[in-house]
Amino acid sequence: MASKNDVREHEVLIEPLRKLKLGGSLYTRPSEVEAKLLELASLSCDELITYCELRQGDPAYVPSECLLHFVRSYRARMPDICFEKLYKFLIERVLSSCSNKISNDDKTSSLIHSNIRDEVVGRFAELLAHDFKDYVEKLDYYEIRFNDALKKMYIDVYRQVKRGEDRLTSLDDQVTGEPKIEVERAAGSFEPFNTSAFTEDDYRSCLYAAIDTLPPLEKKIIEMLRLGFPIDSKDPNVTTISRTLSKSEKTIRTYRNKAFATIRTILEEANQI
Amino acid sequence: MTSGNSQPSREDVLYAFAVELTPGRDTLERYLRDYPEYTDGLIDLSYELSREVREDEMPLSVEQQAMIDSAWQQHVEAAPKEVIDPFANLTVTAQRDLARQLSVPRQVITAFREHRVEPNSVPLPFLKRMAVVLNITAEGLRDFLGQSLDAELMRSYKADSRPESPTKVDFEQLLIDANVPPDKRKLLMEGEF
Repeated sequence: MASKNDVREHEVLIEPLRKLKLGGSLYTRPSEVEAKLLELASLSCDELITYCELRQGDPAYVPSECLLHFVRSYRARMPDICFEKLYKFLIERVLSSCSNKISNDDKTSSLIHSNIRDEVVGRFAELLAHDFKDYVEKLDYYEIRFNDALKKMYIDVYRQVKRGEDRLTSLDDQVTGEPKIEVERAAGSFEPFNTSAFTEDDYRSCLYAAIDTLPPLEKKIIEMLRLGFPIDSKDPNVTTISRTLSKSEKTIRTYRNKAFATIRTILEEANQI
Repeated sequence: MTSGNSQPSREDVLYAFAVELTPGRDTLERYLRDYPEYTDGLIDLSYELSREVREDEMPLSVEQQAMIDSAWQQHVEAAPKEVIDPFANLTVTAQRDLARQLSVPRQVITAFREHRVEPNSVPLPFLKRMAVVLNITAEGLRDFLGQSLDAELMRSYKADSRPESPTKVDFEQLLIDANVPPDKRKLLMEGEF
């Protein structure tokens, strides 16, 4: 019979990861994840569940990397109540991290993101089911940086869903017809990332929502600009946007202006600038 | 393990990029230089990684709860089907405690232990309460109850003549046989006890 003081059997040894890095060495968990695992390992099942219920921001919040580790530690064992609760918390975390992309304002976009969210949850659950039988190395990435690994899954699903939605996956498909000259005027010297407003949550949230509406090529240009890549350079050793995306400097500038105009309009409509 | 010498797949490259400790221009530049064939995915992922993840503060919707339950159900169905006996290590005292916590006579617990109860006749709230106390999932308890009782009962018979084939008993009949009063029986059947 379960007792509140029962200590789970599996936590004494924290199993090392098995995935190899691209360079050939083994991945290890970040030191803070490893330390948290050691701290949590001595808890009883009931205590662990209580901690896992805490929300992000609470000092005792259990990172998803650790939650995943405990779920995986049940591999090839019979599921019990503790496992069921941990499993459900983990799926809730996946749902939660995908749900904040779903806006109620735009019904079409909302539907697409709901479909993506459902697919991500399904794929993640499938990974867990496979891992329950045989170690799935791919899940090691999620024990290192859970949300970032999940973002990788998110973009894969996004590309597939969007491909079904509007067949807009090829960059070349995007470059049909040059934007009108008015667009260039509208874009002006707009610098959406280089503004004091960028430190404000509402502005950033609105900016990312605006970028999300851009076609793939424009989105890529904006991302490279955000990171400070130059559009072009005479030095052949410099990584430029133009060379990376295999487009002329003029094309890149044209689509940068078009993207800026779109973003500016959305930010203005949301009273963010 | 994955070989470090073979050409890495798109999957491996993007996951590796996702978990890099120092994301930013230098890291992206290095990946773009080393894996130009995955340029599209790397830039898309770089953008996605720059986005903050905020946990949804809203309580779970009915739809979300259903998704979680559905994922769990699929997991249980895919899990190894070894049936465990949740009563195996239960002492007499623990069985008495279990009966007390579930508000039923000891003989009801004995019938469950010998999986003489028809699992589909047990009200779900009662089954779930018993599963929680036994630290097993409701599905696991149902699997245990669903086991055939022929083999075990046959072993326990010492009479010369072969007994009639045993059948499982409905939960309500079990309560009647255990002299549980009708009003309490009703509550147990409705899962409100």
